[in-house]
Amino acid sequence: MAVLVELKKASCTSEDGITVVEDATASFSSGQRVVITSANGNAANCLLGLIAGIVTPVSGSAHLFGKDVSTLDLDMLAELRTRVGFLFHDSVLVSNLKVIENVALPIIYHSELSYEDGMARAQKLLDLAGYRGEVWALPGPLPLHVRKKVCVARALALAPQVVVCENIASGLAHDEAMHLTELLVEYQARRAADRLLIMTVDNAADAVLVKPDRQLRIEGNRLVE
Amino acid sequence: MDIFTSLGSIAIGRVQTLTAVWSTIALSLSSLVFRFYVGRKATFQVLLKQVYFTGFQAIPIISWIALILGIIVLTQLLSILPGLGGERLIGDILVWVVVREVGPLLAAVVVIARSGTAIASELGTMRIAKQLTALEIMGIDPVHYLVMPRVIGTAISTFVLTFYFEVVAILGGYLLAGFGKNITFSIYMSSILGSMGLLEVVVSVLKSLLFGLVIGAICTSSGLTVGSSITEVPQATTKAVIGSLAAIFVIDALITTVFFIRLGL
Repeated sequence: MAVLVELKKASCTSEDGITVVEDATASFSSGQRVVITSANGNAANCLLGLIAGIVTPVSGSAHLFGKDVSTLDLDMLAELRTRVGFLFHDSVLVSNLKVIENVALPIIYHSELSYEDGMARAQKLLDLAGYRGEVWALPGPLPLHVRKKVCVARALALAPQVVVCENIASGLAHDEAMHLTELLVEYQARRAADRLLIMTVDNAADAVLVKPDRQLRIEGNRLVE
Repeated sequence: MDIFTSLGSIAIGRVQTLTAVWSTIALSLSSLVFRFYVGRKATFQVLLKQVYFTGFQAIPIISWIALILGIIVLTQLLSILPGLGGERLIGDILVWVVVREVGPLLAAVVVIARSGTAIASELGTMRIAKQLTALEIMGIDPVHYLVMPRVIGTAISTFVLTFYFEVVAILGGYLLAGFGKNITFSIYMSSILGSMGLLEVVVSVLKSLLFGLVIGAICTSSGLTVGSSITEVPQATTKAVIGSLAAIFVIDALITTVFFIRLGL
């Protein structure tokens, strides 16, 4: 099992300069299903940013696929990010693209697939995520649980090696949360030796759905195993 | 001391804005040339949408304005020139007014009003909603995917709309000359074409392309200056419109001065 993500005494701050995560040290390998419990949404968001290579640590280091993210240029970071599927807590979709275009965007942008093939793949992913609405609708009016389904489909579009998910159960009914969590767990289990799934949850009860093989928690601004 | 401080901060603000605009143009052009193959199918879609919205959908309003302008200019010429014995100058003046000056300017004003506002407010809203971050997370560079196609699309559209505006304005002039004064189409067109040299075409092309690039750059960079509050979106849009209008008039004056006064033409 290869180490895919490694944090060494990594700290990050909020926009107003307050330290949100301090000296986080952990390594995550392929084959793992990890749950991080945190009641502090900012800390969870910041930690996942460090893990996914979105946030550069103010001190310490964050390594993604063996590379220090703070030393990489934009193109190298972009290349690494195609191997990470990230799910936001607030399920951000590109507002001027239709639902299916949102899912197809990373496929059409990064792969050599034709536009039609990209769209067909996006349709399959939407079906898999349980999206039953109009695929040519704009995403703005969609309710949160539907947007989350679209975001799951988009996060899996490039078959990423690492899936990072921020509090997927938040705002969802139990059945919806279970469906999406199972989908992500199944995705990881399908090629368990290669893939890593990291999820944050508000409380330990939500962690049960993930059946994690490793659990961490954020206490204050510290990551605790 | 306060006056100097205020003037200094205004000057610094202007320099920063200019730097942002020119760096946006430079980034867009380098992105187009050096990263042409990166995500080309997706960026080409955005470029096509921009040309469709800025260029194609502006055709009705451009047609009306150009047609009316052609009629107005020719009405004025036909009311003044015969009394002065200067009918021969109709073609010259129509080319000077429409092709050299008003065509590029009015086409650019329509682009600012329709598309500049849309670009600034759309990008501002996307920034507030963290959609730019979402793109970055997918490994998509927002400059390459959002800014470059908008800047290049606006430049292409302004260029095409300017050419279209000039043709329709000249044809609009013929509506009055032909039906009102019984001037044949061949005489009218030979008068126009006789007055139109390579310089007029070069200046018109140069102005329209520069206007388009500058409008695209100002509006995208204004949109991207939005921070985290929704109230910043209308402010950024207003800033984009005022900045674009000021820029095109300054550029117009500079080009006209360089080509027609310095060259003595």
